[in-house]
Amino acid sequence: MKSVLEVKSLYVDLPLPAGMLHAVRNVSFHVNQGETVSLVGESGCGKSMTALAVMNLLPRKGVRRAEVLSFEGRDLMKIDDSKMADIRGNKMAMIFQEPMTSLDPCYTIGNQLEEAILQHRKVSTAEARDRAVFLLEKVGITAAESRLKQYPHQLSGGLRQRVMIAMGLMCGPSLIIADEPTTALDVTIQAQILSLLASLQQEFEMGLILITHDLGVVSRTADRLAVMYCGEVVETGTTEEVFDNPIHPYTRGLMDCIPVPGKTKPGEKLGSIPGMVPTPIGELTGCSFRNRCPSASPDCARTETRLIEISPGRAYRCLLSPEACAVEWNRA
Amino acid sequence: MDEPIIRTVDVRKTYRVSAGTFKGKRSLHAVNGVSISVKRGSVLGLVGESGCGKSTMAKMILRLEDITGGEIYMNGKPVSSVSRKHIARNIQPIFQDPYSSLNPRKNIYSIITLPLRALKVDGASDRHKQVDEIMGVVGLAPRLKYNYPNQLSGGQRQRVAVARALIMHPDLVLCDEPTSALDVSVQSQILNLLIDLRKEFGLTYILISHNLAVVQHMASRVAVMYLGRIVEEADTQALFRNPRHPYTQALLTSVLTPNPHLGLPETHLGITYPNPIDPPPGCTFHPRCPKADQRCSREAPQPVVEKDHLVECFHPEPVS
Repeated sequence: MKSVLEVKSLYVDLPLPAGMLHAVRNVSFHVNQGETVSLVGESGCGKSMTALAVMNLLPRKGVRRAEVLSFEGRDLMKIDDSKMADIRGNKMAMIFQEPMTSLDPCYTIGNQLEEAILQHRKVSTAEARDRAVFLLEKVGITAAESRLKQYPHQLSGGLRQRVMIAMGLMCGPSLIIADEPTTALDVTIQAQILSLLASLQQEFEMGLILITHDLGVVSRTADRLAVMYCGEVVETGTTEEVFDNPIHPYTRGLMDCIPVPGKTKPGEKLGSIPGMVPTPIGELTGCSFRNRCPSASPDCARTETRLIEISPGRAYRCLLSPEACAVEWNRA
Repeated sequence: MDEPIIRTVDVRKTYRVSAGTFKGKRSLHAVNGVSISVKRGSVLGLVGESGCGKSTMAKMILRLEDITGGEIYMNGKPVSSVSRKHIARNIQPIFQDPYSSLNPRKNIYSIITLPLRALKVDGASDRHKQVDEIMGVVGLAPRLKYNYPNQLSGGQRQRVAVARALIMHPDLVLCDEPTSALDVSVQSQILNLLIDLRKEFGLTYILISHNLAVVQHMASRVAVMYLGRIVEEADTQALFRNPRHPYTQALLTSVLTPNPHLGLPETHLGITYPNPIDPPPGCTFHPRCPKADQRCSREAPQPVVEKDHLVECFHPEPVS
């Protein structure tokens, strides 16, 4: 299958008053055509920064470097800003978390949708409007024609997120980056938006990067996933592999934290990961999870952890063997 | 039987809202006749989509909003006859967002003791001891006493909010989405804390949440709200095992449990949550309901209780 995006050894550094923040460290992944890859982790793990680095939308003073960062065979590290602006919103689109804040309240839906395509393609406004109506209908909005004249505040949260998705699709991108696309929505709407994304993705054969902290969402939608912690990928594999057989103590911890109807006993204490996510500022040594890890040993502070590949595409970052991880976990 | 801590009888809240420029005002029935009772030591889960009136319920129980109709009884006494301060002694809230519910200009000590000062509780001399004690209970290091909220993480802030709610030793703690602003690993820490505190102090909770997995885990009884009405209410086990209202069924199917072998559920709900200013006639759920017939669009169903399982529907699933 054709690869759409390839990222190898991506680093993102942000200078802060307190020191250098290593927001993303040595992250590698790839997205194929028509495939969903999920970046999973808690806030501050670098999942959004990874997406912003791919889009070259990092905060000012943020620096990215990578061995390989190629999109459809073009090296994104080498092309200049105007070329990047040409790709962004055109071949590569992003759907943000908050449909409330990412639509401009001063312009109509139609205006904002048409702008997306007028910016990149030589089309007439009539053609742009036709495309907008076509896509609004595609994302399941009724009376699309009349919606074009409405302002964002006249739409509900679910509708706004649908408009955001339609806007992302205006130019027929080959890659969509969805950053927590359903976090601000109700559960009933969440399922609908996710199925919509999945069906559109199949129809237009797009690659999808799904950024989320919700393990339920990941398990139901992603083909492959990378669990991130403190700027690093700690475990990666296909969704089945990781959920059926988690290796890294952090992945196991995350899965134990959430109440699952039918699995966790109501009223009993949930599993938890003690402590909190450290901020990767300054010089970093050893495993970043060691302070919260039930199986940590003195070695974890001294030895650099590497991503160990156990089968093609399946890897984890821990000093222990997968079997030892499981034994340690059951004991703790 | 014990008098319930909180009992509401046909409570209503109507807001007057503008219908549009030059169109005058119209009534929005945010809560439209809700009767619930919360037994001492139990946990009532209140679930529903945004706009269903669950937070308005919370505000009325705390007396932050006046009641338009009906009555709320606290320990058998109508709340309209007791003072706000008396209510605050017995009911304390924990809000959703610990970033906006703590005053950024006050230190933790001052935030936690505010209820004591506001209600003029005696014993100013041993406040420090009290604060140290309660901080220990919620798992905060006493050295954080003079820190400010911005120096704490989200989980720590929510612990401060819990400490502030508990310092009055209330009977009832009203948790409005207590973990939805928190990370997964922190959410379980706070939920565990709430479970422990309930055992230790014999607390009663009203837990408002849209996360059904959390509600199933925490609550002993669950009420499902839709457009200002309770459409189904039952003991947690009964409700999750045998959901009777089509809306509850849809809510339950839309919960995404982590399971890589299942796809996305189809809820058959349609996209539109009705506008509460203009609710549909008859049963308010009928435009989205797969079971709706002619009667549903004309007549509003009345609550029917069968084996302690309330449902408000013309075509409910039978009790198993």
